[in-house]
Amino acid sequence: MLVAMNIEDMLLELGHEVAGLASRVAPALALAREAEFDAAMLDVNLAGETSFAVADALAERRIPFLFATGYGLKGIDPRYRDFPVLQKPFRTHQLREALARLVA
Amino acid sequence: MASLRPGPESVAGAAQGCGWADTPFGPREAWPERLRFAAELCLRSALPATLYWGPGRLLVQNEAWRRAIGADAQGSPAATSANALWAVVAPVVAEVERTGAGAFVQEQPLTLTRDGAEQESYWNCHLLPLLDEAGQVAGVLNQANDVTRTVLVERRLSFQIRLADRLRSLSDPSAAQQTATELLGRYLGAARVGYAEIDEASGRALVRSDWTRDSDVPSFAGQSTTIASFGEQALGLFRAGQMLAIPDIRELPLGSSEITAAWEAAGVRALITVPLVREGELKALLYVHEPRPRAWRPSEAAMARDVAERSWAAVERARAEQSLRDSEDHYRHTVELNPQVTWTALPDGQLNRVSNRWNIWTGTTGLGGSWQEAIHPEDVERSLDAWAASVATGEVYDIEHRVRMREGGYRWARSRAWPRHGADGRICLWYGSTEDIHERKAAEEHQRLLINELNHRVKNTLASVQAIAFQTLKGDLPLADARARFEARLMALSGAHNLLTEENWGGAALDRVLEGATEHLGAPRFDMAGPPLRLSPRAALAIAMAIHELGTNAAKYGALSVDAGRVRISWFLEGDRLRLVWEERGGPPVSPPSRQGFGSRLIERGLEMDLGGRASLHFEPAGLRCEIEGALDVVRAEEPSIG
Repeated sequence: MLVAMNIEDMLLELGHEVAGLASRVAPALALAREAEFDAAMLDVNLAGETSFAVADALAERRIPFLFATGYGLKGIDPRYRDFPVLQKPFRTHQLREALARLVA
Repeated sequence: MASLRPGPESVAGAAQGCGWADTPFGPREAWPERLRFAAELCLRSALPATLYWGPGRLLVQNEAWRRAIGADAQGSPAATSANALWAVVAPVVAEVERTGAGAFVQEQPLTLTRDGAEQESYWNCHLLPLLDEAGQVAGVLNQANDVTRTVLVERRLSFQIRLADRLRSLSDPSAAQQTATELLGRYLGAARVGYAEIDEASGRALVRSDWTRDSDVPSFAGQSTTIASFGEQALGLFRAGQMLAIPDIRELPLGSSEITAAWEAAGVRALITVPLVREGELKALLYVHEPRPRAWRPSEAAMARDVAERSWAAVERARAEQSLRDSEDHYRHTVELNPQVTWTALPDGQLNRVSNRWNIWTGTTGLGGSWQEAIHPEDVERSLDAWAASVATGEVYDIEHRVRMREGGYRWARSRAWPRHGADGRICLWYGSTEDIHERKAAEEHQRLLINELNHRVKNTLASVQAIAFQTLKGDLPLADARARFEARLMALSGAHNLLTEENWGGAALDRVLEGATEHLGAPRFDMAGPPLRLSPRAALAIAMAIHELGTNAAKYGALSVDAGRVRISWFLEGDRLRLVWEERGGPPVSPPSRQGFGSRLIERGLEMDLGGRASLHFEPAGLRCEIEGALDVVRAEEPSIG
């Protein structure tokens, strides 16, 4: 939707490619397990469900990821408290810095 | 009582018999030897004695008899005796005459009049046959022995035992009063016995109930009077703890005629009144009433005093017990009917009393340390630590935890306890309560979720606005156009929010979403048809934004840019899919755009994501056609729904 499209644009602007986009847990899990990509960005809420199962799948593949959330830091599962979190809405340079930390 | 031993003069006088000549016996010198002997026996007896002589039972009475029991004319026939005792002994005398054997009459009651008042007395009579020379019974000698004192002592003893037995078994104060007054009344043979309870503060005396000998004697039960009506003098005696025993109300030495008249009007001539003084205050009066004068024996007055003291003690004990029972009953109800579990714990932290409600909740007693068995495993350690800390420091215990209920499942509860300190400052007992706070906790949790959800929505909306701004402004539109475009998109988003807000974000009807998104373009130019469908908030927002983009495009380049152009929006449910088609007709010839703009990206990418389906734009010569497909399980609102 709107927000995802916008983030897509931000990523393109930052010189990245978007390997895939999912708005619900099931397709997101499929992507996390099978798609080829360098890093992921997870909205905590996917169509009413939390995305921590997707985070688990990513962690298993050792693919770095960050969270985007409207719930604030308290909404992050304690297991992922040390992962980068972007609070919505965020600016392009915040996204760039978060990605830089991920890959570093 | 007069001495039973006659003086020597009277004996001598009687024996010498001056005056016998005028009696049916005739002159003493003419008496047969046996009669003379019998008369000597009688007249010289230390006991009251009477001789019944010959077939006519002519009387010879000694002085002791005449004084103690009553005098008849010497030599008169017994049948003419005015003495009540004769009626009793006559059959026994006849028996002795017939058989020639002696006989006893024991403890014979006899009412005697002394000093103008009647008195009860008791007599043992020894009847001795006197034989003539032929061996026939010529007369019977009756020697009487006053056993009043012995009989009364025995009666008093047995009465006291009976009273004590009866009072001991009574736990009701009014029953104790009733029993004591009845027993005393029967013992004294009195007309009325009762208690007047005194309230010095109000100056009134109240009779709750009393005992009366028979229905002819009116009861004073329920009556109340001022204590002043007893008279200052009597009241003074009562307050000093002194009792009154008045044989005749008319002969009160210092009584006012007014008081006497009042008693007589109440049918009282003789009375005993025993005051009960406790802690210096007059609490009650025990009264014994007689409608006729009565010479109260000292022993009767003493008995009244004894009964008053004993029964009042029983009444007070019964009242204390009842008060304790009431208090315990009150405590029990306070505890059992309390919606909270109340409990107490010893200084070492062991629970020694837990109200039954805990058992109703959990099916366990909670005693000792067993309460922790019904605590949620995740809360046990926390609860134990906090309790141990309170027990060690005396700090108030206050903790929220979950309790496993008897029928399964857990409920949130709040347990609190306060220490009670003894005189030495050490804790002697903990008073605790456990309260069900499940509804409150659920409400708090619900509220927390709502606030989270609100934050999420606000942030997401801000992110959406950010995206709209970003997408609208990144092209090379003139500023005025870009501003108008931005506003229109914001208003479309806001319109969809309005519809969702109406239903607390539970969902929105598809037709209303479509109407809202096309309103500004003129409703008469749209044909809409399709079955009712309630959209999820996410689908409603996505469809509203997509239709807004399609409408804007149609107004600018498509069917709505000319007067004759129309748009048809139709939708169908096919299995688990929603299909929605936007078709433009009557517009200028259509050609595909040279580059993909925001609107087409939003439709083709965004709808795909938000509806779980796909969307495609077809730039057909007759007009633009947009086909949108969504998964019903994604598109349809959940039922029922709350914020």
